[in-house]
Amino acid sequence: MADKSYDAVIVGGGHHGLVTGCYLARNGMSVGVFERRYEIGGGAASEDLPLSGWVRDTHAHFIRFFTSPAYHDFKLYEKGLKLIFPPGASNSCLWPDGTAIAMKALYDVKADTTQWPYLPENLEYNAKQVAAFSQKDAETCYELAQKYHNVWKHYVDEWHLNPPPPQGEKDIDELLIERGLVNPAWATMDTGSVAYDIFESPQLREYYMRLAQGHTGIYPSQPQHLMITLHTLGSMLGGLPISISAGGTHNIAHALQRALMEEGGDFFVLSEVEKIIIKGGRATGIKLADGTEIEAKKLVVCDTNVYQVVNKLIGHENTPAEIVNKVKKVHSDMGAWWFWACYHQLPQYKHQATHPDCLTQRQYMMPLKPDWFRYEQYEEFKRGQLPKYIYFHISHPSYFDPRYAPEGKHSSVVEFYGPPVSYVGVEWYDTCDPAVIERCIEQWQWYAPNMTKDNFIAWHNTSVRDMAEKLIDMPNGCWTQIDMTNDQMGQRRPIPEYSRYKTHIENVYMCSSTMHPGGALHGFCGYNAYKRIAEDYGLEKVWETAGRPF
Amino acid sequence: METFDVIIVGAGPNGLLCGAYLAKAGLKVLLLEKRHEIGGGLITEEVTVPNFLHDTHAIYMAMIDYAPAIKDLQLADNIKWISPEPVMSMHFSDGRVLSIYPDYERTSKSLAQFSAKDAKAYLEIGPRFAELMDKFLAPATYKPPIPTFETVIKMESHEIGREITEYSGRTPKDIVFSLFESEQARALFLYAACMWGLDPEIEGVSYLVPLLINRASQYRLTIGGAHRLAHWMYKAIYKAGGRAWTSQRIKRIIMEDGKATGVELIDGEILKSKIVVSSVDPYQTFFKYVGEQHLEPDFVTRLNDYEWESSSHFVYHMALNEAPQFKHSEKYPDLYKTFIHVVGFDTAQELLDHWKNVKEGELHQTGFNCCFPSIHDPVVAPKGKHTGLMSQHAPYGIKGGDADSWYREREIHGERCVNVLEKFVPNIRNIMLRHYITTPLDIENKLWDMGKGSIKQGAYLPLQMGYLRPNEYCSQYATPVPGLYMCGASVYPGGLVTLGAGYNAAGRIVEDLGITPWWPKPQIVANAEELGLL
Repeated sequence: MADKSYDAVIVGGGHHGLVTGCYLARNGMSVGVFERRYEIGGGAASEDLPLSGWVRDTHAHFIRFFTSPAYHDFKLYEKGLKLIFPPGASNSCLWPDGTAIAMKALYDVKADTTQWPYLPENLEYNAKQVAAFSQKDAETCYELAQKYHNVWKHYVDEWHLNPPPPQGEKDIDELLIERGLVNPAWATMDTGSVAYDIFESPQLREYYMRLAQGHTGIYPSQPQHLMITLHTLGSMLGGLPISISAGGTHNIAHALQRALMEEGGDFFVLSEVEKIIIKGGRATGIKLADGTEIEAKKLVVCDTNVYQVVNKLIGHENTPAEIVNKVKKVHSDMGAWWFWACYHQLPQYKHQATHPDCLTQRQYMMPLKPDWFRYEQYEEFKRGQLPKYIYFHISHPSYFDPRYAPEGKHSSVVEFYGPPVSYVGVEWYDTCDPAVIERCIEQWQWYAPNMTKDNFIAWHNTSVRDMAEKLIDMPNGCWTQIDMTNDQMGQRRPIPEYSRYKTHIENVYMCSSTMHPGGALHGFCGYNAYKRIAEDYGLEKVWETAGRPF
Repeated sequence: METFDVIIVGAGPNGLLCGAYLAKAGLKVLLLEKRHEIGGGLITEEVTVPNFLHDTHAIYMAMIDYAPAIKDLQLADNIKWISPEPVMSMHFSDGRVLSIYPDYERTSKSLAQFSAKDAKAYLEIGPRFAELMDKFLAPATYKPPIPTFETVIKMESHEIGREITEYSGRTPKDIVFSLFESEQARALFLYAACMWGLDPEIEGVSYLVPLLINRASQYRLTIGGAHRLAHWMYKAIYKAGGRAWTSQRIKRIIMEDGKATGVELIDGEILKSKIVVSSVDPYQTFFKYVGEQHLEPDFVTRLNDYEWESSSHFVYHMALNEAPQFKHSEKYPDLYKTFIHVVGFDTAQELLDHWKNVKEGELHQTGFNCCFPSIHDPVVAPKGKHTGLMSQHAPYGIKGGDADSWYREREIHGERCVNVLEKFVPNIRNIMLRHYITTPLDIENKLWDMGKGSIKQGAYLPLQMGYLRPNEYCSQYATPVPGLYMCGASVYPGGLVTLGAGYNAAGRIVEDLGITPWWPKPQIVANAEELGLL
C-alpha cells in the first residue's frame, strides 16, 4: 500500500516541474512534487554567497520569466514575486578602447499584462549608437529590428510556447524558410558566419557572437538553431528587457510553490525518487530512495534530464534498446565559469562619461578581437589553455536591487564560457580558478580601473563540477541539461521519440529543460508539457481561456 | 488590493510560530521575510560543496522536548529530532575528556575522573535542575511574563520559586564555582551556562543557569538541518490558508489615526492589515518602521536603553572528505558519538579570559565548541563525507579596527581556529574540502534583527529580561502603538529557538481579538499554576 497518493506525481521540483504541477493542480488533478534537494527550484536557486548577507543566484540570474504564461496565469506578481527591470539601458557592450553601446529595450514590459507597447524611439536611440561604428550596421539594425517586431517575434513566441509538431510535420523554422521570411542560409551557418554575414563592424560582430553564446552556450564555430538566431537578433537590438528577481532567483521557486499550494498541490523536499514503478506498461507510482512508495493514479511527470529518465527512473529494463542507445549519444558538454564577486565600491567604467547608462544588468565586456573569438578561441580551448581574453558577461545586481548585498557593498555575476568539458575534463576546470580570477581582475580593469584587488571582498565560483553535483540534471555543469546545439533542438530534443513531452511509457511525461525549447528560466518546457498532457487527458486549454493564441 | 487580518514582519522561528497559530485560528495571515528564504536563524544552506548541508545559524535545539508547538502543530509527524549522547564533551590538553550525558549516572562517572565530590554533587544537581525545569523554568517559557512585583510574591510562595530567586541573584560564575570544585567541571559547566552569551559575572538573570546546565544534557539535532522546523511551520501556515512572502523589504509600518494598519514596502507596494506583528528587534520596529514621531518620549527613552549583546559568534563551517579522528578517542570511544565538543579550554579561568578578550574586541587563538552533524545525521552530507563547524565567541567590533575589519580578518582568524582544532582532531586539515565562515558582521548583514551580531536580538541583562524585555511597554506582546504587536526574541522569553515568544504573542493576539484559542493550555503550565509559581 502506497504511503501517499496523487493523480499526478512530479519527479523533481525544478521550476518547470512546479509550472506543470500548478497547471495540473488548477485543472482538477491532485499533485505531489518530490524533490531530491533540500530546497525546490532547481536552477532557481539562491544562497548567501560568497558571504552571509550577500545573495548569490547559483544558477539562473538574468531572466525573462515575465514571458512565462505561468507568471500571468497564476498572477505570481500578486504572490510576492517581483521582477526588477533595470532603468535605462537593458544590454550594453564595453570595449577596452573606450567605445560602448548601451541598448534600450524595444518593449515596455509591465508585470500584470502581456500587451507590451513597442518603443520605436528606443530603436532610434540604439541605432544611433551603432552608427558610431558603422552607418551600414545602423541601417541593418533598423531593418532587422523592424522585421523582428513585425514578423519574427510572433514566430519565435509560437515556437517557444508549443510542443514541436510530430515527426514528419514541418516545424516553424521550416515554415519561415518556406514562406521566404528569413535568409535560409542562416539555418546552416555557424554563428560566426551569421555575425559576419549580417554586420560589418567588429563591435557588432563580436556582440552578436557573444550574445548567441549567452543564449545557448554554443561557440562561434557552431551553428545555432534558426529560431534562436532570430531570438538573438531581437535581443541584440534591444528586444525584450532583461530582468532579475528581486532578492534572488529562488523567489521564483517560492512563488510557484505558493501557487501550487494555493491550488491544492503539495511538495516534498529531501525526497529523492529512485524509480518510477511500472506495471503492465504503465506507471503506477514512484519509489523514493528511503523506500517510501507514492501512488500515481494518472500520470508521472519527470522534471529531470533524459539520462535520469531512461537510465534510472524508467530503467533500461523497461526501455527499448534503440532508445537506450539514442540517449547514450545525447551530449551535455557546455563549459562555463560562473563567478560571483563581492566588492566594496561599484565599478567606475571609463565608458560612463560617454554612455552614462552603460552599467547594466546584461553587460558584455569584450576585447574587440572578433576574429580571435571566431576562429582561435576554440582552438586554444581545445589545447587546454586558459582564455587569453575574457568575454565577460557581467551584471551588477546590487546596483539595481539593494536586497543583493549589505548596505553600501556590491556584487557582480561574472560569466564566460570555457572549453567543452568532456574534452578537457572536469579536473581541468577544478584547477583553473585562481589563475582565472586573477585574469578577470586584470582584464576588468581595462574597463573599470577601480576594480583592483583591494576592492574585492570575496569570490565564489559555481564550477562545472559544483553545478553537476548540485543539480544532477546538469551533467558537466551544462546549464541547459543537454547541449542546445542544432542536433538537439526542436523535434530532435532530446531524442525524436520524446520530443513531444511524452516518453515511450504511455503515462510518463517529461517537462524539464531537456525538452524543447531548452534551458533558461522561462517555464516554457513545463508549460508545453502541460499542453501535451491536457491534450491526452482532455484538460482545459488554458491559453484559449486566457484569450492567447498559444 | 488584498487585505489581511495580520501582517507579520519577519519569518524567523517566532514569526512563523505566531503566524501558524494565528492562521490556524482562522485569521488571514501574511508573513513578510527580508531574506530569500524563510526561517530567520533556522537556516540550512549549501554553501561549501554541493550536497553538504550546513546549519549556518541555529543548530543545537534546546526546547524541543517542552515546546507546545511541537504537538499543537504536529511538527513531530514530519520532523525527526535526535539526541546524540554524550551531549557535550570537553577535551582537555592532558588527554582527558569530561562528558555530559542525559543520564545522571554516566555524567557523574565522567566527573569522577576529576573529583569524587563533583561526581556526587552532580547526582543531586542533575535531578534537581530537571525538577526546576519541569516545574517552573520550562512552563514559564510558554506563558507571558508577569509583572516583577507579582513574580516576587509568587516565587516566595514556593520552595522552587525561592531557589530560583536565590540563583537569579548570583552570577553564573559564582553558581558554577559553588556547585563544582574541579577545574574541569567548572570549565565545562561554566561553558554550558554561558555558551549563548550569558555574562559570567552578571547578577540578575541566573535563573537561566539551571536551565542551561539542564539543557546541556538535552540538546537535540534536527535531521536534515534546522531549517526543517521553519519549513514545516511554513507549510502549516499555507495549509491553514496563510501566506509567507520572501525578499520583502519594509519601508514603513503604515500609521493611520495613531494605529498600525499595514506596511509599505521599499518598492512602494502597500499591504493593509488589521494588526501588524513584528518579530524583529525594537530598533527596527519602532525607529525604522514606525517612526519616532508616532511615539511618546518616555517610550523612546526606554527603547534607546535597549542593548545589543556584548559578544557574538564566529563560526567556521567545514565540508569534510572523510570522518574526523579524535585524538583522545582511544581512551574515550564515546567521542565519536558526542554531539557538542568543547576544545581549547583547560580551566574556567581560560574561559573567563576569553570572554573578557571578546568584550574588549580582541582576537586570540583560543577554544570554541565544535560539532560534526553528519556523524549523527547522514542526510546532511554525501555518503562517507562529513560536515563540521567550530563556533567561537567573538567580538562584533575588532579592537583598533574599522567597519570592514571582519572582511580582512575572517580567514586569518579562521586559521587560528583550525590550529586549535588540529590539536584534538589531528586529521582535520587533510580532510577539509572547503569552508564557509560567518563572522559577527555577517550575522548582522544576514539577519538585521541581530544587531552587532546579537544572536538573541538583544542582551540578557536584568533590565531587559522577563517583564522588562525589551521594556515594560512591550513585554506583554502588545505595544504602545495600537494595532502593533511584538513576537520575536526581543520579547519574553528571549532568543534561542525556544518557540516561546511567538507562541505567547499568538495567545495575546487572539485574546485581544476575542478569539478562543484552538490550542490547549500546556499541561506543564497548568501544573506550575497549580503550584502557585505562574
